[in-house]
Amino acid sequence: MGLSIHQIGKRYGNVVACADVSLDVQDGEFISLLGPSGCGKTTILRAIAGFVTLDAGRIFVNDLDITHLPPNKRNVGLVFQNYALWPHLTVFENLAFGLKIRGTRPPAIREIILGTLTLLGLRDLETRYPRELSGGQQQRVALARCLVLKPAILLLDEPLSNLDRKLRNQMRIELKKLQRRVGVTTLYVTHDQEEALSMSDRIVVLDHGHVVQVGSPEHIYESPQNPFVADFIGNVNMLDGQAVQRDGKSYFRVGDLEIEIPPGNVAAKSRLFFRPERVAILRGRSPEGFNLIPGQVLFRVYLGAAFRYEIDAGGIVITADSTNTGSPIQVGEKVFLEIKPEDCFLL
Amino acid sequence: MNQTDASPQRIRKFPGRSPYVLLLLPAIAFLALFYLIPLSWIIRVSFYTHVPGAYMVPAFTAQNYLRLVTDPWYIRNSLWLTLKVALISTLASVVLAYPPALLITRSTGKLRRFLLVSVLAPLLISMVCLIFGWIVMFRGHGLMNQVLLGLHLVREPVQWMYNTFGVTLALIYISIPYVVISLLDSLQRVDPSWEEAARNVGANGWQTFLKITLPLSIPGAVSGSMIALTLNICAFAVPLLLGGEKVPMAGLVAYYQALEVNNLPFGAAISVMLLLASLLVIFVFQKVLHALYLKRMEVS
Repeated sequence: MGLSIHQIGKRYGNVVACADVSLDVQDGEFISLLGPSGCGKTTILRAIAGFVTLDAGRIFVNDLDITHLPPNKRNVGLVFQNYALWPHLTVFENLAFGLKIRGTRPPAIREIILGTLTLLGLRDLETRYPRELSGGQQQRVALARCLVLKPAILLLDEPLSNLDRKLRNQMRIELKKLQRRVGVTTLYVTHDQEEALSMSDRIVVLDHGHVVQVGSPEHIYESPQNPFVADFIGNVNMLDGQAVQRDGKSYFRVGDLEIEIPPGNVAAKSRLFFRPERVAILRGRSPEGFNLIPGQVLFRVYLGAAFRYEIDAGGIVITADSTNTGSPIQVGEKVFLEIKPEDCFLL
Repeated sequence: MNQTDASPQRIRKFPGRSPYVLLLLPAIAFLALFYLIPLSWIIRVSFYTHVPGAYMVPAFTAQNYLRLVTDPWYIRNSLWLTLKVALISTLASVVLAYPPALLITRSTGKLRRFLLVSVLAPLLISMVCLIFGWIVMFRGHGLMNQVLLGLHLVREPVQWMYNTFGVTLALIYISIPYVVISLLDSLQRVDPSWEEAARNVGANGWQTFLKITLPLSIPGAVSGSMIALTLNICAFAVPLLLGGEKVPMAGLVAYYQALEVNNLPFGAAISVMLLLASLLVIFVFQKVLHALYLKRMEVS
């Protein structure tokens, strides 16, 4: 077991930073802690690194209890959000610092550092100072500083949040590839759902210091277990109403609308969810399809590769996304919405 | 965008061309009147001759300087003593200022305000009052010795004053608040995450301080020690009240020559030598530190 967190809790005065959080991370796994700011994800990360003293619970790394070890005895690598490179040391010296403390001999230090720099494409930068590097380079040096020590766990605290969008998307893929190659168990803190979805083996969704759901990206996105997860990850249409059974089928009634939903015991639930990209917009007078709902386009947002429409369906506003195929629907146009029962879920 | 592009140029043009220079005039006039003119006059007077009975006689002679250089007492017992005491007290005050400065940097709220006020309070009190307080504490049968005798830590009263040790101690005491102030500024620029990063890669608290916090706060230590060094080289009240004739620091000797012996030209020469010596020390100090740290940190 790479990392095992057992019922940890931390309060700051009256504020609960995290409560009863438990998590098992397998060797080599990439796990994201995802949640809005203030959800306790950074507290958990800092507790693993040893910078937060816990009120309750235990933390194990490779079955060793590290709960009360000082930060320098944990062999847990932390990449800081602001990178925290030492400004008075060159890239090489930044990387050598931890190795020197461990008593690694200078020739070995040089070999390890040059290997890591080459791996990260930083080979030419060893004599530079942090202020002479771009944001992306600084980020990679911060990563390299952890990797040279071969940590048992790699902790990343929103490492991409200070980069511009293009670079961020690029670094996501690079970081994921690197993690696969190095095989290091990784805990990644982010508030960016796209980041979590695209990089993680599993995602831990946190809210107000509690774990709300743990699962693979697909699982989290397709089958959220509660309204918070459904709303926080991706966009979603959320309609309040009532589930009814008729002729062995289940329907959801919202105002005058009745939408067919997957069969099952849903009587206690009063909220219907479906993703905008699963709503098909059909043109024409009487197209064929499931759950056809007539509506009129209220608003259109151009997203480049796609359009987002807000459609008035008998007083209820439904958001629908469709790819940009070159013939967008005009505002005011009358359309039909198709929502397949299997794309609906109730919470 | 255009504005931000233009501003560095405007700043570069600033000296000389801008009407803002006029705003500097009062300061320049003040400095000229009360600093440059008296200083030039002192330098001029140091070449005058002293005729016993007469006050001083205008001349252009090097005899005052010759006397200073040829009489070993002035070089060894006064000038060298001054530099030694000033350097030791400056170094000690920097070392001793680090713990309170670190403590203040890491504390917050009321505790921080309390600590700040306690460290800086001595600056609000006249130095003469401080020294009188010091005398009450440290005189032969003062509080300090009574405590030490009462605890049987010493057999007879310790001679805290009227020697070089006592003067050095008092100078350290007076310098510490100045050094703390300049250290605070530097230490606050040391991002806590730099220290955490050091702990994260395996450094213990002491290694983190020595390799990260200390080098990154060197600019503050430098400016603090510059202030302390200048204050201590020119120390006057402390050696006067706590040292007496046994600690003839140069400022005191210049005063004695000028106002007690009435040999103003010789007093002026001592002052000029003191000025040159302290400039030299500060110059060397800066050069050494620049070579060691500042170049690396690109501190302008």
